[in-house]
Amino acid sequence: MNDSTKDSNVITSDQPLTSEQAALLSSLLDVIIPASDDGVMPGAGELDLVSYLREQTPEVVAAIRQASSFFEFDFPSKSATERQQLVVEFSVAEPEIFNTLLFQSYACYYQNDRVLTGLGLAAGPPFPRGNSVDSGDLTTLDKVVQNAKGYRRV
Amino acid sequence: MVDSATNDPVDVLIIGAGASGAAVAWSLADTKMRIVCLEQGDWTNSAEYPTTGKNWEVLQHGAYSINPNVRARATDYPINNNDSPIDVVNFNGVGGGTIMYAAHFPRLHPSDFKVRSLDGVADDWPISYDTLDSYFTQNDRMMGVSGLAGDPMYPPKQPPLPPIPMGLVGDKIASGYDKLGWHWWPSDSAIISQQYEGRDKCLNLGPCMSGCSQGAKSSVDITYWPEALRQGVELRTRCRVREVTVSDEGMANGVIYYNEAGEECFQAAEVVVMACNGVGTPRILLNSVSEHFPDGLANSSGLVGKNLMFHPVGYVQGVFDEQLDSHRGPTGCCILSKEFYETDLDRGFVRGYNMQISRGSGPFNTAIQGYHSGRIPWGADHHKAFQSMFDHTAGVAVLCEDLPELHNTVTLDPDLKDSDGIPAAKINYTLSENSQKMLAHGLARAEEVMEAAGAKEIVNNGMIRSAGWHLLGTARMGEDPKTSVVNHWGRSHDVKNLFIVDGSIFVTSGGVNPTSTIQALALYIADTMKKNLANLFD
Repeated sequence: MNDSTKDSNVITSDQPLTSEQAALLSSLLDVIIPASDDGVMPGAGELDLVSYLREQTPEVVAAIRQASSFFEFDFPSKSATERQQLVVEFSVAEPEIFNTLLFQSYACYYQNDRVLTGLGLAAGPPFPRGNSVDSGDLTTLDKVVQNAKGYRRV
Repeated sequence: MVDSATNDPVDVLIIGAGASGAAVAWSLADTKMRIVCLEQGDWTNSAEYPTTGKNWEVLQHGAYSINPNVRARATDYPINNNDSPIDVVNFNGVGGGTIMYAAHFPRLHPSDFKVRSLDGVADDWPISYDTLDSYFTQNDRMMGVSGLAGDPMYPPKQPPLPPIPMGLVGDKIASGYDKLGWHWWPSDSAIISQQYEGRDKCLNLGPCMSGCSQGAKSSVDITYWPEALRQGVELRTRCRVREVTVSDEGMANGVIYYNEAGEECFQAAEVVVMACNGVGTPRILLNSVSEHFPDGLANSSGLVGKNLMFHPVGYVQGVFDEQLDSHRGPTGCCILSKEFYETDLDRGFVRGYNMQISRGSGPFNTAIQGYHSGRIPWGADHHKAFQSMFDHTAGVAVLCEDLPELHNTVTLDPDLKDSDGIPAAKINYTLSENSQKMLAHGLARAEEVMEAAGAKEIVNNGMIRSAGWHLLGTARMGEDPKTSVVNHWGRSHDVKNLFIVDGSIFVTSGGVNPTSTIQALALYIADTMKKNLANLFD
């Protein structure tokens, strides 16, 4: 099946959410981590959580689909206040699913290159780039030596 | 049952390839005896450690968790922590706990060996700091330890490498200690600050506790083991020992273990060395029941599995206005304070604690921990709260000396078993009144330090549950067979060809991370074995 004939509302092995569910999930994620006011930090809904999960933890996709099913499809069109309230209700009614959704959305968000550079960090994994750290000020140790009680003799 | 390849007994069989097993294997290798080490886990590959990937922080919650019950690899065995406020954490593989330890590497103090004489509690060790002094030095050299000579809270010692960088976190917290006039010092760290023995220096990646991709953290798979293997020691992985077997005369004569295929195998041996630390060693000994030893091997004293000591750890976090680059640099190694290490009865408890300054988390862990602590919400305020925390925190871990108590135990779980059907370890542990007072005192002092350092917000997290790294005391040493399991050089009182070289032989716990002392003990015991080879079993 090519893209032109693909039914966006059919769940397949390579499309675990319908287009309506995907739109709802994106809106839901943007409530959890919205874009920053200055636009530097993206909203979590702008990132492709589903692809991330399919690659990293495919067993969690079902829970995400379950999370989406808690909401009506008009969720994205509701006001920000209403959406916030609905997510609060969801977090109380389904704490386990909510915590899974939150953990995975944070995981996806805080390893995304756009997010890392927005935080002023280098994109990509820490190794082999590494970090530089100041050696620190050891000059006050003379005073520490003078003040110290010393170790207990036996 | 499958017999070992040659069916000949090996001279020395070591169980466990972690900190102590590696040290004893290396030391005994120069005898040219046939030495075999059985390890239930695998070699790890530093190219696969989390920091080589973008999901490095997430893996700490799963495949690279410090908790074996969460990690749940085929090479792990389950541990029942239900009756303990502290969870056992460990790693099962070549390198053992050193693969995932923070590499904070202080030695026990001289006073730690004489607790009964000095403070009238617990027992003295049958050896002293001086007994181990040269082995501490040898171990520092073999492992590659960074630090600064001159700490007045210790007898003179000279780490082979200069200290790892303190960074802005170290400077900030040191300023608090200076203001209070309290002791602090750069930590001795088993992390190389310069190129050393073919290994490159620390890159300040941060998460040492999920394995060091750079190989700068001194885990024994890259320090002792390559040397031991070059000298002819044989190391067999995926061999999980079920029990030590005994002859009709009551001497150890080998072990039964399961190989990777789950086949039951037998390896004969002239000498057996236990190196599985304070939970693994009593687990195997208690599971080694025979006509000679109906209560478990080497257990005529009834003390195998008793006197379990953790180091209860409390944690205080400070949030600062200033950018501290908290996620850069080794998480658990920075500076320490011994201000409250030695006994002062005016504090309301006996013995003392170490204060270990830690750096901060990466972005994901900052966010998820902030959510669970209620300080970084999801929703509209997320970014603002996150930015006030990330790279703006420092921590003080209060690591308390734990005194031995008979009711703190490792036993065999009647129901829970590992994948080979071997009973799992069951932990029964309660925090003593002395430890509770010590912890409360330490947490209050940590808050004072944070305040003196200028923290705008101070969060007292209390005792940390997932901090049962230090597993000590469950087969203690001593001269009296009625009150100890092994003698002053690690030989079982009951079974003259059985030795224990790990943390289970600690008489008391001290108040510092124990790996340096565990390894010095292993080297000392191996050296004593070599000196007594002609009459090892007399």
